This record gives sequence, C-alpha cells and structure tokens, in this order.
Amino acid sequence: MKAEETITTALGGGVGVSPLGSHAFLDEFALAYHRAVADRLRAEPSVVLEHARWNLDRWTEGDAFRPGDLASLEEWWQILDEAGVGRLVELIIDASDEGQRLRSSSPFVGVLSPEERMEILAACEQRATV
Amino acid sequence: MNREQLFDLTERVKLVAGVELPVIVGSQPLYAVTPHVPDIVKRSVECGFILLAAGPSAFRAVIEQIGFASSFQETHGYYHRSVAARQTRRGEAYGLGARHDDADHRHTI
Repeated sequence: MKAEETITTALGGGVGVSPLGSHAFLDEFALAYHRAVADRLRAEPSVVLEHARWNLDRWTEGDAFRPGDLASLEEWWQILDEAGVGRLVELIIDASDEGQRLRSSSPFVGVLSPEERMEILAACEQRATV
Repeated sequence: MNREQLFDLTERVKLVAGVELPVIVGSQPLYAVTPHVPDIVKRSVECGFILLAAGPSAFRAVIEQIGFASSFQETHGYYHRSVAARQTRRGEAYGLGARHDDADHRHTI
C-alpha cells in the first residue's frame, strides 16, 4: 500500500465515503430547503416572514449570542426590513457563493415542518447516490 | 460563533455521531490560539467538523439532529456541518481536535 493510500484509509476517507459528508451535498441540501421555503414565501408571505423575524428575535435576545457575534443575524434583520418578497425569493435561492453565504445563516429554519425537511434531505441523498 | 457555542457543538457531535475526537475545521480553530478572534469568525453560525472514519449513518444523524435547519438550529441559532476527511476544501487542513475534560469542565483545543 502506498503512503498516500495508508493516510487516506486511516482518516476514513477511502472508498465508501458517505455522499452526505461532502460540502457539495450540504450546499445542495440548503439550496433545496430554501427552494421549498421560497414556494411557501410566495404562497404565505406574512406567515413565513413572521416566523423568520421570530427566529431572529429569539436568537438575538437569548444568551447564546453576544453582542459581537450578531453580525450575520443583523444582516438578515436588514434584509427582511428592506427587501420585498420577490427580492427575498431571489436571495434565498441564489446559487452563487453570496447566496450560499446568506443561506448559511438563514432565519427561515423551521418554516418547513420536520417531516418536510426530512423529505428534502432524503431526496437530496437519493440524487447524490444515483 | 463564540467559544461556548463551539464547545457546545463539539460535545453534541461526539454524542450524536459517536466520534470521540471530532476535528474542527474552517476558521473556528482560531479559538485554540486566542479568544480574540476576528469578527469574520464570530459572525458564522455554523461550525465545520471532520468526522474521521464515520459512516453514512453518522453523517445522517448529525444532519438530522444538529445540522442545517434542524430543530436544534431553530432553537439555538447555530448548527453543525460535518464532512468526511477527503471532502475538505483547500485551506481547511489546519483543523484541530477538541477535547472536553470532565474532571474540571474545561475544554482544550
């Protein structure tokens, strides 16, 4: 066995690595989740926006974050205050690096039910393993 | 993400994935050097880990329980992002292990 193969095997990175353990998969999952959120946002904008603001409220007022840690949450406050529904949909399903960055701190978690989230996760896993 | 959030996630990763020593990757290992990390580190609400020798069930479990859009993230505002060792992006190779000392409740990374 070559040295490189030895190291890879020791790290558990050999054949059989789960597709779930890749950046590409996790990025695709977040995008797929937000595509479903976008549909909900178009259909029930006030409900979805209220949930997003409720999340930001709880996170910023709780003990987990300190004043210096709030930049990404404050960025979302500003977006929610300034962007219309159409612009929000564009932002959360933007496939660019910037869209990905915004999704990583999304306040739209919980807009979908746990069952809907699991269905999206399963669909992404199925696509990744085909 | 602050230091407390990082250690909270580390402990949860160990429990959920059954991994004794998850490896922290990305920018968060800077907490091993100084508590005064740049703002760009603190503004992230996710932390990346490498799960060594973890199988599909471990990755699925961490996504389901403490990953993106999980009830954990909805409750706490931050979440976990695990990748396999060979899936790390260039520049992530400076990850450090994290250890929790039960004797005096201190963490070292």
